[in-house]
Amino acid sequence: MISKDAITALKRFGCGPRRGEAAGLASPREWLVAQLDRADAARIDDADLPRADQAQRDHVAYRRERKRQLRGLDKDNREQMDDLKRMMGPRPAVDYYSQEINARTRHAIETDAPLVERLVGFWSNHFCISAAKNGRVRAMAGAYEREAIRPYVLGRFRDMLFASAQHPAMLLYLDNEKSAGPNSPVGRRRSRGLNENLAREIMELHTLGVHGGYTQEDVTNFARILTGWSVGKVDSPRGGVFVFHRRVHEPGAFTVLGRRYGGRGVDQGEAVLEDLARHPATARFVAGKFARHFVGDGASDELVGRLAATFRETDGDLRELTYDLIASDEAWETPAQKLLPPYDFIVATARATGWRPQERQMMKALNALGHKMWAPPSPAGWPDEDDAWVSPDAMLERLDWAQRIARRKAPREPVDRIAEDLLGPALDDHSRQVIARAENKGQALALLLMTPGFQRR
Amino acid sequence: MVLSDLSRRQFLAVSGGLAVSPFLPGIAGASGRDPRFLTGILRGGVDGLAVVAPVGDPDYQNVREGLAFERSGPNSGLRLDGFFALNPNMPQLAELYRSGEALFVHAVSTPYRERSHFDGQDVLESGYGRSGVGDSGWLNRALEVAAAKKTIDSRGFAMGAQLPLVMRGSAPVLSWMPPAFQTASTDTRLRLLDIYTHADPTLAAAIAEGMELDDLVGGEDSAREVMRQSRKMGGGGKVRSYRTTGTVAGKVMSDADGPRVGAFSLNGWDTHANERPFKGRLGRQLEALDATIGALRTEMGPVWRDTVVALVTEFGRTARMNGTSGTDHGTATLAILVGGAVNGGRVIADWPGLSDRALYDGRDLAPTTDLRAILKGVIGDHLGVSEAALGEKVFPGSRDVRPVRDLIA
Repeated sequence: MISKDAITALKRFGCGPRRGEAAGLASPREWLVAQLDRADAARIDDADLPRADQAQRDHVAYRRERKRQLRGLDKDNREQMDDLKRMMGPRPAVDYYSQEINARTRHAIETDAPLVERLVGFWSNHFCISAAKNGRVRAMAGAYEREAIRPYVLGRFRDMLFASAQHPAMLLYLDNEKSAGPNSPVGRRRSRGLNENLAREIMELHTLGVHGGYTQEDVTNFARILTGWSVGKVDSPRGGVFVFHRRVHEPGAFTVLGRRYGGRGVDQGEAVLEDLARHPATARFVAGKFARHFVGDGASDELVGRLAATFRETDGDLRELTYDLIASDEAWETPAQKLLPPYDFIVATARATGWRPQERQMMKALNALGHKMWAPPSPAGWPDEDDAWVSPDAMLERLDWAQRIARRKAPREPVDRIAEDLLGPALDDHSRQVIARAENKGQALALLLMTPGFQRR
Repeated sequence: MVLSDLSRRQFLAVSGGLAVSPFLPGIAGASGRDPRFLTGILRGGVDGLAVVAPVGDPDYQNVREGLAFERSGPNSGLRLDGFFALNPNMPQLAELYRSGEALFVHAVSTPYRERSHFDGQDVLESGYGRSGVGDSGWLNRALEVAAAKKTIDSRGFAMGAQLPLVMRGSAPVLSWMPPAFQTASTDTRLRLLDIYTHADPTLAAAIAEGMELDDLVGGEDSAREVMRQSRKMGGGGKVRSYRTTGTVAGKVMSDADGPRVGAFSLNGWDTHANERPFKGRLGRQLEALDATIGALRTEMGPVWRDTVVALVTEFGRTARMNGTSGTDHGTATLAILVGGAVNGGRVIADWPGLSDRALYDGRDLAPTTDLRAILKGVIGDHLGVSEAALGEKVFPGSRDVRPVRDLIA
């Protein structure tokens, strides 16, 4: 007999059930709590994946070489272009991107600590970058998540905030490498100026939230303080990593949220980050997002308040935050409502059916379903409301994709038995009947993958 | 500064700015018609000087060396007036220009003055004065305002896997894309609809609407049929896929019960290398764009006379050719209005000239017309949106940018 809690643990807090998994889950809450000691499960150990600095170097080297080779070639001459392609080998911006997608997906499909992987998904979207920014960011999009997000999902919020704000992917994505203090040595000589993008998004999206009580003056001053936070030129000794350029740093002390920050180096900005991480508005904003991500849009103020208090009292300990969420009855009693985002749907399908994506298949499926990996529509990340992914076209596309997988993985045994095994009480009687009466097993499996019981968590 | 007298005069004539919004409540659309408005986002930065060339500018041949229209022969282009000529790869657009149904706006740009695609498209589509401000688009907000007056259907339409920013917002949007996978049969769809009708009304509504939209396009196998027909009509892969976009958008937007406002995107304009505006890369792009316009014209049928299609891009490109026979990211460029409701047959340009001193930052065509003034004029006069709403809601903070009137016939 499959308990409702087992399904909640596997779906709401996991990456979806595998065959037989729900029946074997005697104490779902303990199973989740045990995963909180599995910080190592967030790591992807794959020696072939390049670090962010290496990815950038390879990307820039490729572009230079291609430009050199293109001289004297005719771009419309297919033969010449094919030769060039063969000679140049794979483009890092595409190749690394695709490899990283596969590594992440494989990890999510195979992991035995799926809660940890869900935390990665949440925080990666909270501190999102976009692979659509340019080839350089795309080449290191996966490295960003491995370096700035995964090590900290059961650690401290402050550490993740620092790691993301000082990661080359974030500095390039939000243009801070271009920002120069108007009174800095470089700013005075050339007419380069302030870019507020990173400062604003850190306050609005990463810490305080848009109603967090900061002003435009706070943003501008924080942007001044962040001038000089940049990325080393790829040919330099600190190529492709975080550097502090003193010569573009705006000199002086500035006030942010009522506190004056002196100092002349990277420590000035770090002091602001420390305070933002500990600000009560940050606790509230982060707790609200976190609760709604797992429990749904209707997460109670009481639950959010409790998580915010934990966040404050533990100095942003994300393990404690997660523990409190799992410990709340609300998280277990609220019916499943959030429609799986396409990535999560694909992963859940793989876990349920045994299907495994081949090279580039994952990237293509994500693009077709409108969930391009690491490429959300804005710095606010992918939308997270319960029905954010419901649209006529997207649902039909999902069905088409489900049918494609179901045909390949058409099972021998009756699909209603598989349905029971995977979803137990989460499957309503009517869905069960429609599946049982399907024309063939392929259709039955496709319908199962599309039921509300499978699609909502 | 070199001026195209004709263009200058026309520009002044249409931007007098004294006209009050002619919208009368209770009439369908501002002009008494049942308006259709489509926006095509040309992504990558269109080299406007290679599409509509200022062949009468004395600096033109010099600045555009390697990319210029020839003085005679097949690559001399189609003369639009005494000053401008159209790229010869766009015969269908030329025909519409001759019949007064196409209008070009040159030296136009959004308020964005840097050179990132990402931010440039953000400004182009969000309708805000700078990037990273909003997560909704001006077209959706315009639809919201127009639909609130109940003059047009409240649903928007978009082509593509991802809703383009310009069409995102609170007005509901039907989106359609050529299916990436083999489509599920109607039988399977109906069985799923049965499941959802009992258990999940939200998902049921989505599936039902999706099936309705497929019917607008022409039924279950429509997508494959559209693509098959496009293949029969010939042309390269790009021409075929662009034409499909035009055909599908035309089918949906011409339906009596369908949406009235829509958007689509056409990629591939980022011509950094081997641009070749006649027989090469850009030449093919323009040929494909021409096919899109032709397909739209055909599919819209009788409602073409109520239609405006705006074709816009995030920025232009450098005036001079770069070291790889292409052009780099620039500033001002071209915008195209086409459709039976367009008061066309002319080029609007406050021409800045192409001399070294006239170029923006010494490298780009200088912007002299704010794209928002054009779009505000179209939305105001075609969809009946008030100037106040245009300045505050549709293009926030643009009150000082006066709509260009007289763009709608």
